[in-house]
Amino acid sequence: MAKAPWFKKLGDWMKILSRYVSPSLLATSLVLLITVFVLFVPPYVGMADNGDYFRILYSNGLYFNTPDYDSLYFGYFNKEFGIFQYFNENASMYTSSQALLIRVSIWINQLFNQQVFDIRVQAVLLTLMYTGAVYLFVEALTWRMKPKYGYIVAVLAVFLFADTAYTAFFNSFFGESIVWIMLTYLFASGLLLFRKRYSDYGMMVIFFISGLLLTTSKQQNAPVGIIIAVMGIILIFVRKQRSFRLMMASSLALLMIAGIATYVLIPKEFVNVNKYHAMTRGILMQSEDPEKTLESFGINRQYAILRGTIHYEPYTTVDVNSQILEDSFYNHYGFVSILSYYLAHPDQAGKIMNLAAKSAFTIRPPAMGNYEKSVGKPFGAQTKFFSVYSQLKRALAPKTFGFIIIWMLVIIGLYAPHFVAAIKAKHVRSMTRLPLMLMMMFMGLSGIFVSIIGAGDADLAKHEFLFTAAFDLVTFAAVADAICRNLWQNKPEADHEP
Amino acid sequence: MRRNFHICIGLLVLLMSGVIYPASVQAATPSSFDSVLIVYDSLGIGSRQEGNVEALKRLLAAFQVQVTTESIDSYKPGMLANYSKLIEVHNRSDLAEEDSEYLTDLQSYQGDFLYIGGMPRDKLVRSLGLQIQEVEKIADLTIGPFVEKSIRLRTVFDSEQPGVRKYGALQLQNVSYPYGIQQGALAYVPFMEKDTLSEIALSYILKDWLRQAQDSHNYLVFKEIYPFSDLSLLERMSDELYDAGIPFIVSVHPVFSNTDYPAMKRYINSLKYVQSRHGTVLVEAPFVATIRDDGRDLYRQMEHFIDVLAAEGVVPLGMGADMFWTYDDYFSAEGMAFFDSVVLFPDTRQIYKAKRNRSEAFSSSVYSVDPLFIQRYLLDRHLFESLPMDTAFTLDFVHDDSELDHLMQGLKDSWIRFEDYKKGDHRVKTANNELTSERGLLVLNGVSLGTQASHVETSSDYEYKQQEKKSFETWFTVQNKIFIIIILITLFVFSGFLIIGYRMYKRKFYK
Repeated sequence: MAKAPWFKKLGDWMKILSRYVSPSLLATSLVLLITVFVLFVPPYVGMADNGDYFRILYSNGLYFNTPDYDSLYFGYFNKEFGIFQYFNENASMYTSSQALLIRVSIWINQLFNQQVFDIRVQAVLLTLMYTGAVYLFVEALTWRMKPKYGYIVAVLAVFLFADTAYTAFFNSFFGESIVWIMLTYLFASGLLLFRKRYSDYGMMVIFFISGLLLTTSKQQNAPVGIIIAVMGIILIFVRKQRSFRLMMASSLALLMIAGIATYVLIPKEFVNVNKYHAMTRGILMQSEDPEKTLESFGINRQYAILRGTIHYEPYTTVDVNSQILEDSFYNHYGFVSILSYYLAHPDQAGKIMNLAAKSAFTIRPPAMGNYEKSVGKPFGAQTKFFSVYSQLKRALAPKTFGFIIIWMLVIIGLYAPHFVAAIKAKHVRSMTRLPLMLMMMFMGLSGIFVSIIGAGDADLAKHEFLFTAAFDLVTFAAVADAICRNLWQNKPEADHEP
Repeated sequence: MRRNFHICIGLLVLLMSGVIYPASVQAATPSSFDSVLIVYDSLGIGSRQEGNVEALKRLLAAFQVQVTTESIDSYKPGMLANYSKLIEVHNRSDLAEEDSEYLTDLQSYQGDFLYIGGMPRDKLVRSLGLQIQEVEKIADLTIGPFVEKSIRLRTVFDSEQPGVRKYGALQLQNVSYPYGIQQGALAYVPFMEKDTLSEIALSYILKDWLRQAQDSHNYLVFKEIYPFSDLSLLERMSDELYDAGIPFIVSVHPVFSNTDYPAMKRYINSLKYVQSRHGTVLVEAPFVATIRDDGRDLYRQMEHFIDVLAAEGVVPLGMGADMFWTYDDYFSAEGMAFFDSVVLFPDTRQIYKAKRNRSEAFSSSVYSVDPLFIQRYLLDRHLFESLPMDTAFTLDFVHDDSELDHLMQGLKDSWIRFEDYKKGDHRVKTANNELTSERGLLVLNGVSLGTQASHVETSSDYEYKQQEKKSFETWFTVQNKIFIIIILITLFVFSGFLIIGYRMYKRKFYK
């Protein structure tokens, strides 16, 4: 059948285009353009503070310098903060890679202004990092693919990566921005290793650094380091040189240590808040008989009265950090005992998983506004600009845990034949793609599990960001591979690695 | 004649209405209490004087006065004219005093005046005949049955003037100087530090200066009682105190949600048991986690808790709160409005929502003190005398039996005579309930309440999760089964086709 003339013309046009702009460059340029427009052209888009800024701000030498800051909570984005001009007694309260980013941003900001920190300095840094991540990711999916497919993937990538639900985080002190960028780098570098696009050593460095920054960005990402370390074992064997294998193995070991360290270094106050929710908003919420459940943990059954309560209630029966809770409540359970409880009560685990799935497809937490107060938008108004993807996802994704299982099975099913073929061909590099997909999916799942085990159903939409991000990247990779005919068509050959 | 008759009838009606409809007791209105203005030059942060203004505020609250606090720097001209009682606290000795609006107004001030500090005003020096000496010596302070050893002094004073009343003694080797002095509207003390005997010593002077003559009472108060405290231990403690003839108060933490749970029933039953053993229940202020209340209504929450208690026959007679609650517009209006009686604890963690410099006064306000603090200065436990104001000896609820045994022994050995809080007049009022105490009886909505109660076992049976309403349940169950069968058959057929297809493919291409 003859091709339509317009289709032929499109093909010719793409051939010309491909001489000057690769699909990855096209996607990156468009994402950069839209992001710059959103973040740096008035009205600026950012995220309102939900009360979490305090700890990251004060521990890094910043303070709230807006007189009516209390009125901005949840409603309005605020871009300027004061820089401490004297000794900061709150320093080192909080340790994370996000703190590192903020300190670098403050240092750059101080070259221009010593007193006032403009959050857009941090947004510039993040945008630059993001540009690199998007480029590498699209390159990993479109390299050596037919231009017509490559450009389709590039255009689709713009819809995902320029979505303001993701980029608005750059103008905020939420750790989600660094999680999103580092997750993209991590996945992209893994895929580029698989595609053998750039120097393996270079990609290994990116894989390690992004994994490290991702693991240490938030306390709840502690399992991420362990997942990367385990699922990344196959990457050690991509090359036969001992130096490469040694370096890769050391990187993975370091990531494992970073994961454990992040878990151990969590300040106690946060543990208490989350521990409280893990019981009151998790186990007790789902239990048919909370008193019996408490007794199974060795806790006084009277604590059933705390069922469903949240720490953020303004007026409460008990201080979440009080000695009585410490002695007779928190001391009786931990991450492992809660996990064991859910394993022993799969019906309750199933219920809370479904509850978790309801918020698992929301990128932008619904509570926080995106505009500055001076813009004149209503309290809590969120931007609709370039957020088709996030809105469609929120509206259309089936919000049950069953769907998440089916999604995982489909992804595994799509990539398994290639993996089996790679095993048959004994081509280690080709084997890496499925483990990479699994690594991303497990990281996403860890986001859900850690949220539930760590804090019950409190703040689910925000705690599950890691899942929603991993879901988007994996789904996008699968769609792109399907478009580029890269799922089953490229059969692995025998290993000829150096 | 006819006119006089009408006047008599009118008076009679007024009198009757006073009898039948007594004035409603909300938190007392400001006008019904004396007002005192505290003016200070510095809060003495980081010095020995730090916290003395707070301690003074708490002492004054125990004398049922409304307190306004103002620093000299923020003093507004003419303010003094609104007060008939003034306390000046001078904490700073490092800087020379500058002219200020306050000093100008003080010149013409004619009301009662108490000065705390090393450099009393000339007017006081003249009127009280003060002879002040600067010293750098160590002395022992004694007042009533109390003594504090080795206090460092900077100044001492004395007065030969007839008619002055001297308080306490500062013993310097062989010479003795008074700690405080008062005559009519004027009074002077050279220093006051928080958590030292000078805090207690000042209360003796305050009582006379405020012209308060009523007897004071001692109460035993237990804090840190939660619904998840060891309730059987609480009941045992009530029994032991009852057997020892010691009336007591429990300040209990409120519960705002899940008040229909069995756990709440057990909490209430234990409080009823406490009531039956001469215990009185006070509602403790809730823990303020944040001032962002997102529409949560403290008034409704407190009212709900009081009503839940009242519905089960538990009669709280007042509130236990940190003092800062009385200096907050929101907390006093929304959280304390139900009560006319309070026990004010020292602030452990101040978190204001609508801070103000004026306090809310209550018709019964008890000064809370740690028994160890009193014990520290008591010369001999047999010599204990009541402090000048109503005093709550406040203890945390015990953790185990051995602590309880130790506590009971201490109380039995103590010479403090504790009063039954119910013997005073206290009133708690919500929209639905009026809870009062009259001559030792608890009255709920006008009906005297029997407090007999015994230990009650509460069943754990409760439907925590409401069953969702299901419609067409059978229909969907049958439908599910049919679908499962269809899917299984389809899978079977599909597998069959797959095998047949594979065999055909092999036969065709692998011959």
